[in-house]
Amino acid sequence: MSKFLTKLCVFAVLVIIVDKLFYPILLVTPQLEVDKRLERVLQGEMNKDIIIMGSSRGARNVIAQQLEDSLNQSSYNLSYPGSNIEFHKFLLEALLEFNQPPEKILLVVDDKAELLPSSSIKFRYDRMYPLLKYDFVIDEMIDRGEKSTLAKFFILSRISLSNFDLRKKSFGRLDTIQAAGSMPIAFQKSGIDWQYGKNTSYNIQEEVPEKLSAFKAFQDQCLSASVELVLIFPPNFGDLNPKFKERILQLKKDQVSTFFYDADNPIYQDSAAFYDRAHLRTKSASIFTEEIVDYLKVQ
Amino acid sequence: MVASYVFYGWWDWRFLGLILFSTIVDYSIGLRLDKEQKNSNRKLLLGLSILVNLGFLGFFKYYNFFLDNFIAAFSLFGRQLEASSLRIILPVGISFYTFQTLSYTIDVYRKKLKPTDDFIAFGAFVSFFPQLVAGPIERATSLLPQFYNKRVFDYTRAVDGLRQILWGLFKKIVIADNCAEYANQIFNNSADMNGSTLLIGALFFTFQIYGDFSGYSDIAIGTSRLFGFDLMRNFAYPYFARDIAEFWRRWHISLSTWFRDYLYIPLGGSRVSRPVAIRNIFIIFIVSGFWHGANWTFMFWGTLNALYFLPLMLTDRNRTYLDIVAKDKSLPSIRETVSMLSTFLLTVLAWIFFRAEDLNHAFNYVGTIFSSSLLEFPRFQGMTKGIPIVLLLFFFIAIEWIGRREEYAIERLGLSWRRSARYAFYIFIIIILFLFSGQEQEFIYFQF
Repeated sequence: MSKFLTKLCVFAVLVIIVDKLFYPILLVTPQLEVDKRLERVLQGEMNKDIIIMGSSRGARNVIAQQLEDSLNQSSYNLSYPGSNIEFHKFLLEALLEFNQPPEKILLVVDDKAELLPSSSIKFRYDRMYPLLKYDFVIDEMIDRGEKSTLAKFFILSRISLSNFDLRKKSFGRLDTIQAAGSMPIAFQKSGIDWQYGKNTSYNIQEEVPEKLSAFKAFQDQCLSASVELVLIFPPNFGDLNPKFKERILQLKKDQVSTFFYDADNPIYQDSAAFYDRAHLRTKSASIFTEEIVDYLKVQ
Repeated sequence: MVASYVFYGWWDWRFLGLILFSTIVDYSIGLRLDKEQKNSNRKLLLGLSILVNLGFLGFFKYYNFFLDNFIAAFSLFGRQLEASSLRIILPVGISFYTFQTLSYTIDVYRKKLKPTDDFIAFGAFVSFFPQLVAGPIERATSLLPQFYNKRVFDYTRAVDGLRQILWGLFKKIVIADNCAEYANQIFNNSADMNGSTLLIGALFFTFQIYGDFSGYSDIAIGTSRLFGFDLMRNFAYPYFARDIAEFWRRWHISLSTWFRDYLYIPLGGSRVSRPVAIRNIFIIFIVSGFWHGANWTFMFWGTLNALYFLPLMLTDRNRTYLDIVAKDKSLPSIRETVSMLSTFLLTVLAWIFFRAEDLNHAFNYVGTIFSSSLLEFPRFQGMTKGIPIVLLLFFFIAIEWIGRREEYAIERLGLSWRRSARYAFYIFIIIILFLFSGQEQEFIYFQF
């Protein structure tokens, strides 16, 4: 038995040594990223007055630099294209954990996918994989079942095959990030059927429970950290879904305020203002941001 | 026994009573059978054990199936019956431990085994945790006496056990779980896929189920070996089989031999008239399919295998291949290769029925494979990400081929190498285990 245990220990030590040899990969991968916003949050470098969160609607449609210049308050856009409310909640937790709470958070909601199943917005694990050296990131991945508990102890369990791609990451022209984190698009997507939309269907029964609870928790966390939360309804190339609006207002806490785009502004009925049916082009994003500025000034 | 009960109770403590009840019934009946001389009374006792064990199995596993089909059958005659299905939780491993306890009572009845008066040993035999939930289905004649022996630590056996666990983990975590991601994606969206994609999906499932189930068996056997217990072999490289008869001698051996000993042979086996022998073959394969679950797909899977098997039996060629392929050679001959590939493809076809949601799904799936879209380029999400998995599959098949003469593939692999090289090989497998671990999937056979 003692021979067995001795050899087992020797083997275990060897495995641990080999495991630690992979540590440099954890250090290298964050440096290869172009989008360093999440890492800056984790490093406590995101101490701003106004933070914008959301999916691509938040990233493309709200120009943080413009907010900063107009309101004279430091602003930063932490919206991730393709991300959902669960990811936004994770970001908020990271923001509050490592940084001074912002004065305001503008959460840009997705009409009507905010709480419904959607293949286009998800939890952006791909943004977390380069940052596996951070315990906060790995803890979230373990909680969500993306990584096993072993990841707390073994580097090999932390990293994945994608971490072995040691090429410097590059962004396409869609993903250019401005200094203040916004990602506006100047051009228009081709091949869009520019029919002005009127979508009125919304089925509460189809809502994803995880998204629903994340939406509620997001509000709770903002309120308990004394952060003023504003829910932003951006324009689509089509009318705002009234049932979606009603649902969000129903779920909204009393202390949370809302901002709706100016539906009377004819620019939002002109397809030239849009990149596609859900995202504005830079110029019209600037107009929309100006509307937000006016609202925040009055507030 | 306590460890086994804690293990099982961790999943759902409420079902511990079921195992305990089954244990008490068969323990008591075993002792009564030994004392009882009158044949009719002995038969009655055996019948009671079968009734209790199969009664539980029938209720938990098949109640809703029979109810639904009963209602459907009546509706064919224009009668609508009012009955609602029960929300029954299937106790994990019920099919496995039920068959294990049944084998004890039947062997005692047949006087092949002296009943035990050691309740703890018997309880540990019924609930032995490494194989409780997914086999191998042990025989009392083999496992029960091992509980009477004083356990002495055996270094070689323990090391061997660890090695088998390592290989089992590789099969499950790397092969099965990765294949499952693609198999699930393709089977769940089969209506939108072309023939070549569906064929790939069926191939992924073929490796998934082998890696999943044989991986579990390796982990169970290896764990038992650490504690000084020997369990029976459950898989013997079934995908290297040269015909379906050989496949069934190599796939889920503990279940196949259980059915052979307790169903097929009592029915007369093959030593009866041709029509009865054919009937017996169908019975054993269909019951085997039904054992897997209350779904027509499993029964069709069993029937299909019976149809595969029948020509071999009718031409007396069902025992042609009793040894391992290319036993004294490194590579198979062309004939052996063709035999293996054709058997493998027949198996792949049968697995489609095993995996499908229902028969309609299965027939549509097979229909699309045998359509002109088989010649189209395969298309599914994450296809390029799957390339490393295909390379790993080749690595896996190569190691299995090299180790095909052994109980499990890496049993002797590297034993003649320098220790450093051997350790490097094991560490390499551990690295692959970590890096290529697929999305965690429950063992398929837990549902049976």
